[in-house]
Amino acid sequence: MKIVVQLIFACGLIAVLEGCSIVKGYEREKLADPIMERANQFSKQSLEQKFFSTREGSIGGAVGIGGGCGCAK
Amino acid sequence: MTWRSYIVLILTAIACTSAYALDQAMVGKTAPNFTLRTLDGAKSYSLSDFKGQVVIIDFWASWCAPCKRSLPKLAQIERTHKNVRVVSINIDDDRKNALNFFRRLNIPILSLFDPEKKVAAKYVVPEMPSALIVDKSGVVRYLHIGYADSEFETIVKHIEALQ
Amino acid sequence: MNYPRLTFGVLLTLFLIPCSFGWAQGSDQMGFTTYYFTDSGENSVVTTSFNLAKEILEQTVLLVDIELDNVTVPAVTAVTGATRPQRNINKPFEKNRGQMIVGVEQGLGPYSSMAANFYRSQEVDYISNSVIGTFTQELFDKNTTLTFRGQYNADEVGKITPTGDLLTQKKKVYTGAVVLTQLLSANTVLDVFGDFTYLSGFLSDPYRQVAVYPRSDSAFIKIDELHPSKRYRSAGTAKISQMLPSVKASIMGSYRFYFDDWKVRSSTIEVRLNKYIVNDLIFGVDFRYYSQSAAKFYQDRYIGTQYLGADYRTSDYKLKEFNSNNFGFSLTWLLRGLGKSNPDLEFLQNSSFEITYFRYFNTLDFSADILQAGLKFSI
Repeated sequence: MKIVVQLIFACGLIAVLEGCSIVKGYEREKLADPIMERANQFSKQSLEQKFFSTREGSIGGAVGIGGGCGCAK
Repeated sequence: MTWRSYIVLILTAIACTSAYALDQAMVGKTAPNFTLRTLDGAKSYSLSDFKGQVVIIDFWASWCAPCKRSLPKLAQIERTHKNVRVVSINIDDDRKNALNFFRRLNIPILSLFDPEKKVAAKYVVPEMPSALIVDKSGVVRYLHIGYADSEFETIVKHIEALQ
Repeated sequence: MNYPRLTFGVLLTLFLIPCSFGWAQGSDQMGFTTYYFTDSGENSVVTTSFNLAKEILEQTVLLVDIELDNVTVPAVTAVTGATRPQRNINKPFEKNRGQMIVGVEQGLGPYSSMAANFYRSQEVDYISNSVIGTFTQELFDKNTTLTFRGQYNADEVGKITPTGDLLTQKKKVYTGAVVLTQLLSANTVLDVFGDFTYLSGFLSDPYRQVAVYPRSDSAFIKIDELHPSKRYRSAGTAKISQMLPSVKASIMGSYRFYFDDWKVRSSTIEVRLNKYIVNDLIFGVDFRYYSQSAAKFYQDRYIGTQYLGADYRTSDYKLKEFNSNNFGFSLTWLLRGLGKSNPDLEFLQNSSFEITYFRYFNTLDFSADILQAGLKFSI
């Protein structure tokens, strides 16, 4: 039963994500705005993460990569 | 690896394949006609104005870094090939940003403004920049996405095959 | 080693590399960041870093990141994250650390890419080497991005003895991470991260000692701390970024849950607001709240002779129960305005300068002030 539920969930996730091609390439102007920058400069983000990891007992949960800009390289 | 994992991977692969298919949706179809004003608002043009010519319809935006490189290359193609017309279409929300960007490039190609993105939607534009090559009879023959030096060599070959 | 000269030499060399290659058209990035940190224990860190992303072939980008730290620990012993030799305990202690990351990112067509990076960090009593591999796949018209990362670290944890000898022990770290980015609307992005780390080897601090009381009424004995030789660590994070175009602002909120087999559990909530003050100036406000539980073997006071043997013991405050708050402010000046008015400054079109201050404090009476300034060029 657990296997069936997991499989249904996986198929549903794929179907939902497939239906989630909801932002076309020409609609991504807002996401490309500097104010929405999530993947910060490598160094800046790593400096902040390093500070917290040397002061606290947790690690992980790094910055996200990808998405946002509708630009093709 | 369990059989469930294989099923999920296969579905993901199918999804990836369908993503590629969407890119090429306009190829082989008649290019939809449109009428848009120029970036500076001075004149309006329709696609039908260029009937009988090979037309490169290039969708671009000021927030698209690769567009800065692709537009001059397209201008070069128009300059060096007879009977080829580049019709660039900007899809910025703010005309000022588009005008500033275009003026800095200082290239003599036609640029139209599509702020409501209706023409972009008609052409099912996948990304910025996207260049559709339309033959003399008005059929979309090729779709090029992005900027790369090698990609432009291919565009030139495609243009020459249609002339 | 003369670190100022080394820094100058490295940075000069890196300036010359782009000149000899020639800049690729428009996708290269370069950045400098300077970071100054001081805390309530009078420790201070000055960090200078440089990063470069340069397209060397079509779809091939060279990545270089260099960081140089100078750490100063005062003479008075205090709780600090910095390692220090036990000798010279009555003098301020200064240490330099250099770090370099070199890597290549290769596009595999329009929808995927992979990257390989090599990392090395070196200081007088600690060396870390790491290899990192990343694979990124775009799906569904680039509405979804999946990134997989694997990393292997081989560290040498050293201790400088009172006689000046360096004793080293090994530590290995294996990390796997997955990142999913999903565009939910033209103004909203969801990021979900999960990572898993396995550590083995010497996981204690070789300089840190623990006060152990053989009996409750006896004087304490100082003995080296002893952590388990294995650790499994996991974290999951969800982050939403929302553009607010009507007020020219954006808001980002995230939640991270962390757990490990030492029984440390933590929750982190972070909220960030960015707003355009004028066209090219962004003001940012950041708040972060963190709360963690103690490791299973942590005790405020170790009483019993078993702690003089093989039982785990620690004086690492990072394994204690506490919570913390972090408030930050930033100003980012987008240099594109300079490019608009002066064609010679066109190269600043995608460049920016940012200054950040944040104040950190926790329930262990520790506080810190961090000031950071960074300059980013896109050419």
